[in-house]
Amino acid sequence: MKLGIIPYQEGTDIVYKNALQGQQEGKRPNLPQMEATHQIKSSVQGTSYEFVRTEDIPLNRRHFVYRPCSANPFFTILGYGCTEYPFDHSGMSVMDRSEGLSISRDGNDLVSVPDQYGWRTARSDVCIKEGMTYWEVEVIRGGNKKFADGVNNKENADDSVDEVQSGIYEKMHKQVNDTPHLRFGVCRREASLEAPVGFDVYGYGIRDISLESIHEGKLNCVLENGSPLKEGDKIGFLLSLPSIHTQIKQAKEFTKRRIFALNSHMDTMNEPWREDAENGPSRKKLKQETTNKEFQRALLEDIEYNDVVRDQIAIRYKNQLFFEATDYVKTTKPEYYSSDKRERQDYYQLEDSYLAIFQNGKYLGKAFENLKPLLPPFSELQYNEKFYLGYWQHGEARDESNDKNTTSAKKKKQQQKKKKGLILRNKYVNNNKLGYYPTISCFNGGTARIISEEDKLEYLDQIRSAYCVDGNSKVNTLDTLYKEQIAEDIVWDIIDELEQIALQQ
Amino acid sequence: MNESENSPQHNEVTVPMVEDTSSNADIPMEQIQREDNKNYDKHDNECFDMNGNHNNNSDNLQFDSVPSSATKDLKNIKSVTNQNVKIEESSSTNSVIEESSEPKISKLENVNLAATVGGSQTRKYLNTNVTPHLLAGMRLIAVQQPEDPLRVLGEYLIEQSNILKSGEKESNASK
Repeated sequence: MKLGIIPYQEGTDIVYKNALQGQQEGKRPNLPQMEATHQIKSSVQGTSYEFVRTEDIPLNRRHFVYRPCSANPFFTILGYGCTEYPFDHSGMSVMDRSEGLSISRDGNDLVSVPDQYGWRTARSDVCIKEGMTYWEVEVIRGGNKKFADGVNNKENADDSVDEVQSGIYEKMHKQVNDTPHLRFGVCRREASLEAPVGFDVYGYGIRDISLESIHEGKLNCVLENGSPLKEGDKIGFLLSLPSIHTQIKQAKEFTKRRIFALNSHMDTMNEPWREDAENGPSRKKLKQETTNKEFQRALLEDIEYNDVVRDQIAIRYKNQLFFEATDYVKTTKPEYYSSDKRERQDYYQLEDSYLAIFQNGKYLGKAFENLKPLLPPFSELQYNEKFYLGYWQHGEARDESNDKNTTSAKKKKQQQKKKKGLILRNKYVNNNKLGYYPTISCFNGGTARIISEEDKLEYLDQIRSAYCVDGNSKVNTLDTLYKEQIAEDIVWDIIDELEQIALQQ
Repeated sequence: MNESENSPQHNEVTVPMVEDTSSNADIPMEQIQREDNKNYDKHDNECFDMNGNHNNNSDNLQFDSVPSSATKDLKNIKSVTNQNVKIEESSSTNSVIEESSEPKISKLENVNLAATVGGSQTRKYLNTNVTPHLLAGMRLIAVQQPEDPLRVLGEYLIEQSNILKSGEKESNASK
């Protein structure tokens, strides 16, 4: 295997054909160890749910992303391939969630937080990249409790006036403290999991009481005034995104504008350069800054829009196998501007994109239109800028041997000329996880279930009959996208292995 | 609030960077490791195990850029840390390589790929029926690079499908 790849543990990592029957049929990888947090009893359906939290797996945070992996002896160079926990269907991700958010013990479709917990968020394990996708979220606990309030009012009417006012205030206070809440929507990889969805520019969320829309932390009332949510309600989401081809075309245009802005900025620096031509320190600073701009331009020119670079490393953590990779980070603000606003991110929108909302099958409207684009360079990976800039400038991270030979300055310059400009790693890459993720946020005991399978989506036929009239468009479900995603993982595993074989030759 | 972070470039910071690289080549490595440690300080204590693994990551980066004279040193270091005797054996002589390749082939035949990888029902189905043949076919066209790679790959997969069917027939006949 390639150097640096961790070795196999023969007894546990690989299952052979002549192994015991139980070992062959056992579900792998093992589910993480879980600790019970709380229970919830559903008054409408009469069932009880037990919620747990995971104890021994790493979660996706601090710009690192983890996923289960497994040994694959057929990959003679890389040795490991992707896998996932053996749930029956797609649902909420076990690792792409906040630590305080609990999952159901026997499935991956229910999420909840204990009472007195603040906002916690979980993302689905399905990444929506293009086309129309429909899914539903069922409210288990969350939303308004109007009936209880009415009962309280009636009871208090029998008391005296002062006691009535005091009692109402106390009970209102208690009700506010005891009310669970939910928010649902979609978000990108950069969105924080420790805040409700829609809190920042990378998420789009819906509130649970009066279905306001939240984006960038701002409220909007754009939907029809449906009845307040109650237990058992099903909120349908129809997300429409343009095709990958259209998105790539837009990303290329954005890249061109940014490169143009960099050039314009360099032009304005020529005049100070001439004025300070004789000043040593100032010249050095200007030259250094110019090099930074050239590096940024080189990164933008190096973008491969159709390639997938995953750059993940197999690690062993508490006797479990995971892939570790860097995640996408909130975009830093470019320090250059030109008079053309098309060089700024906030100018761009995904054309014909929207998130439509249904309440128990009834169309309420489009909560969001013109969502933000997400392909690179609209998204960038966590990146050690100084290291890669140094490599790009000097070609080698260590040129100790060249420093010793002071007499061969010409050879040194030639070597640097040859290796200068190499990009060891680009931050503008697509790792096949860029997209919009169905997201649920819970507060103070809020509980919700995501529904992704075709046979369990109550209003899917109704949606399809309304939106597939022209025969060309197609409404996907999360389960369908999940299966396609698994096939893509396998294909990219094979391609990564073949690329490594080609590099070794 | 818009959470986008502002990262202005400080000229004073970048200038020492250049000076350091020109004088001492070891400093960038130390800086990188320090920055990596900073990242991991934010993790919980349980995640401290990541530290060593992430150093492997930086080692990989260094390995790609290190000249050939230093590559041998890195190999020795890694082989000691990983305690992977197979790598040392394979690097010593060709005859050892030939000997070690045979057990791998026999092991591959015995490996139950679907059970080893696990995962969802979709992945098990694909790993049982498709992945080994697709991987072998892709290796084939990667090496030969025919003019019509899609046809060659398609014919290879059809051939494998026929072989599997004939294998089933033989097993049925033996019963």
